[in-house]
Amino acid sequence: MADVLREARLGVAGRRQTLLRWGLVGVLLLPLLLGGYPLYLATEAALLGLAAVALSLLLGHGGVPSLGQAAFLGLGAYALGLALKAGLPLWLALLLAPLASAALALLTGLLVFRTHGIFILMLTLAFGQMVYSAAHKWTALTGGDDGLSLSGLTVSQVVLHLVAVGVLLAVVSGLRALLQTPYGKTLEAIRQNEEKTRSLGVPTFYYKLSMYLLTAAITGLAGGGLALHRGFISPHDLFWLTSATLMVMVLLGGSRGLWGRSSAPYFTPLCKPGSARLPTCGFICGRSAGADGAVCPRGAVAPAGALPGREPWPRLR
Amino acid sequence: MERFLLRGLHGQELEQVLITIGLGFVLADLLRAFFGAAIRSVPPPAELAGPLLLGSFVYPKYPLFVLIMGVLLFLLVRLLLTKTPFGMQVRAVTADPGMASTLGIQPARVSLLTFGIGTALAGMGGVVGAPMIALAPGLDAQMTLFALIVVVIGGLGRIEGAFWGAILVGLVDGFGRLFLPQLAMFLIFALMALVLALRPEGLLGRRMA
Amino acid sequence: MAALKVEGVSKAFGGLLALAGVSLEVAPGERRAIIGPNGAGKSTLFKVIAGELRPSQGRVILQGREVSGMSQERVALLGLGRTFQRSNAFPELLVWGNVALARWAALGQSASLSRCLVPEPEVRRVLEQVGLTERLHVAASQLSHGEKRQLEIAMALVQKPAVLLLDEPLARLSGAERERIGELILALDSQMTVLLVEHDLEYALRFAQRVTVLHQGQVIAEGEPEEIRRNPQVQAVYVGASWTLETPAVATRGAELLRSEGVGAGYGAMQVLSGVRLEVAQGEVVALLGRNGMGKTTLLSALMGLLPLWEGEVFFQGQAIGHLPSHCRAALGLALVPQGRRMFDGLSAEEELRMAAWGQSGRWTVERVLEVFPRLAERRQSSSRALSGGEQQMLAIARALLRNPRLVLMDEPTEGLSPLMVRQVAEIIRTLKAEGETVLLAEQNVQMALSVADRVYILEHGRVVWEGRPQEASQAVLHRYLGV
Repeated sequence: MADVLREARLGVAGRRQTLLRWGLVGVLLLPLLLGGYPLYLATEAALLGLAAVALSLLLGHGGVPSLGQAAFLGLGAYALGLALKAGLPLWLALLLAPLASAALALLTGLLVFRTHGIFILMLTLAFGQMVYSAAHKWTALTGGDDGLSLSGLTVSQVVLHLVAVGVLLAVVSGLRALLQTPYGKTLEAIRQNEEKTRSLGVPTFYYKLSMYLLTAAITGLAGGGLALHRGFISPHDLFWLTSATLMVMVLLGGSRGLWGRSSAPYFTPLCKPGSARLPTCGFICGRSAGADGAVCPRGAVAPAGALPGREPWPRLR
Repeated sequence: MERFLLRGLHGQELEQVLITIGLGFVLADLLRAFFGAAIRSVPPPAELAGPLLLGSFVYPKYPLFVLIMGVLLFLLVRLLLTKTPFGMQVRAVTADPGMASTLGIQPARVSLLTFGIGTALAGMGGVVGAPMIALAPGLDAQMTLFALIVVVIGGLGRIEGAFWGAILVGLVDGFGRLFLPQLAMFLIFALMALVLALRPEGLLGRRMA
Repeated sequence: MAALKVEGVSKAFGGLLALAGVSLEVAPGERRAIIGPNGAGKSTLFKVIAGELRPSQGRVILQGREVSGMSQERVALLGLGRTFQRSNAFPELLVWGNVALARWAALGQSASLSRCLVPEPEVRRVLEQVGLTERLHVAASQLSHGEKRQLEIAMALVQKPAVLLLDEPLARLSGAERERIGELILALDSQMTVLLVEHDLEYALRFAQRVTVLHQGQVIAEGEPEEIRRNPQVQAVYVGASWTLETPAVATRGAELLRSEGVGAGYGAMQVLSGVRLEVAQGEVVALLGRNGMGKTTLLSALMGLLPLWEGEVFFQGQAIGHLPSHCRAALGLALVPQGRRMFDGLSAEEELRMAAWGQSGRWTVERVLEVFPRLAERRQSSSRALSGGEQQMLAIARALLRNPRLVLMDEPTEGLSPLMVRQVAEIIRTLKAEGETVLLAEQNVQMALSVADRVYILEHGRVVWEGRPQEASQAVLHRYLGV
């Protein structure tokens, strides 16, 4: 009897989910009709959403709290910018962005995964700030505080938006599929009980590191996209506030649901420019982050994200 | 804030950090709403402005005042923690709240007071330091960062750690800016990362339970 | 070739020597039980064998291959399976997912990227073997305790280990579940070498072909179950060499101080105590006995308020205190000398005493306490954590006394102490009694407890199974509940 009810609930939830997902796709494509500033914001949201999705893999499914994602975002952006400046074709630049971030992840991951929990939070923060200071001070390379501008590059708004949304959807689907594989399940197992996983014979260090690399690569790609989108890269994007914002997005959307993640960025980037005039917006964002952390870790957009009956707060390691 | 949000999270440092960051966002935005986003400066009070002349030794008065205040406050807090009964209770509750409560101490109240004192000290730091730093939105992120760096490097669990950590960071930052402007910031964070990876409890810290 | 060989393994944690030169050899397919009283080093031994801990000295050889110092992961892949004391599965994954994960790990397929949405036949087979077929698609967190144990065992079995370590698989199980798991273990494949650590001695002796007895980190006996049962040394270790039982004058009972009615408590989803009823009267020393894991510490923690009551009520001087937090109970006159001493990290001995005494006035003052425990006076400036085991025990007792309590709860005060210190603790308790203090004492050291107590309760599986005066506790009773 309980089984029948459960099936029914899942069925309803499943239908609700599919509806919400199609709704989401609609929302993602709607701005194309509006053009102009809304379209600009929407593309920005889609790209940030990509970075947030990556973080939700790392945080929600892998249990690694990283407050240094801005470094990967910014590195990807700078890699793209510098590559284009050096005259490399666009496709190569877009390839270099994730690769550069993955390389950084490999280097820092070796140290990061020697620690746990709150120390990972602080260590990733430290690494993130190191990259920030490098970007800020190495004026010869990055133009320092003035930033790097990509001149002479015309990419149609519409094309960029479609590509961004396409990549976002592809990555979300890809990651969902990944989580169904033994590799994905092992990552979840590591989050739930690392000791047990090790005692079963799994060398957990490599799994955590590979997940970190994947996350960094996706974030780097998002960064490259942002550079293209804005036409301008500033070291300020690498400041730890961006990492914190990404984390807020992840928490708002529910750290476990990848779909929820992609919708949350719609609130936050809209809030940031809006908050100069609408302080309530920033208030809501910050408040929700705080409340989410304690009360509703499944996030404000949970129905679009997590499946019903999942455990709320991942035991973060 | 402590009472309603942090109470249930004793020992779960990670969640504490995330909540306080979120609240920080909220407060920062509220302040921006009230005070606007312009950069402000606060002049020091007249008695403390200007240079101090001790024979041939010239030194601006206000920074000296800040320095003395810093040392004084440190010594006061240290005194509080080590010599007073309250200080012992704070240390006991941090180490083992369950056991402390069997001795008749109310861990909830102690935590509340500690949080309050800590916040008050931070506020004090803001007030005293105001004339020396440009006040702009975004200062909260900067200061949180500095505070975090100092605690990480200096070490958790002992107040001396924070004191010496602050001095170390300040010196590295100051001299770094003078001699190696490009690398100063980078070095501080590199130091922070190194300490975290190799000696997570900080240079002078105590191993956390 | 031996399936498992342990050669002269020692393991030290700082100053504490958990294992001191342990050697044993297990033949392929053998069923070996490792028994010993609390703190003997059984879990530490398992951890060293599995690679979770590095031995300070000695070697571990698994199927002819030296594995000492290798990481857990490598040892596991070399053919060692292990179940944990606290059922340790992956709560969010489904039952079959847990087992599948274990299987992939053993086959080295954990990094595979091919989607896997249904349980494989091998997974089904193992789950059938342990009896969890009905619960295939249930999340592991929804399982009962017994079922979680079944899952643990399934996860170990699916890896087809050559050597299986079972760490207290029956702990905290009762009734039908206990039977079920017990039978499951007895029915394991005879080709597999199985090492079992269990506190249920009857079961351990039933299961084993050979038994190794550990005490204070050393092997004190090894042989077939019947030999071990008759071995007087082993008896002594569990039940203790008899102390002279002073026949205390049968005094009139004082007023009732503490009473518990139908108390139940537990940890997480696991109920440890049920229906516990006991009384302590003014001026008495009451002892709580029972084997390890039977609920003594749980009961004291529940009485003090460190654990919430699930059922029943506790009355202190007639007042119901079950809902009060610890500090309120402390204010009413309860004091705890906790298991493991629980010294505060960062406080000196003197600071601990002053803090405990703060706001208190009464018979016990810091000066008086330092008179009674002169060793503490000498070491007052040292950090409390730096004191020796015996000194820490004195400090913990002093700390409780400074509260001028009506009732002192003592949880295993002789744990980890040398025989000389144990006698000193017994002396202290007698002194306290002479001063008119009331003590409720949970103890592992049966003889010591019997020598100081006015009345005794014996706990088994979270229930009171015997109560009476020490003289009434016959050898039969002692052996039944406490001995081998």
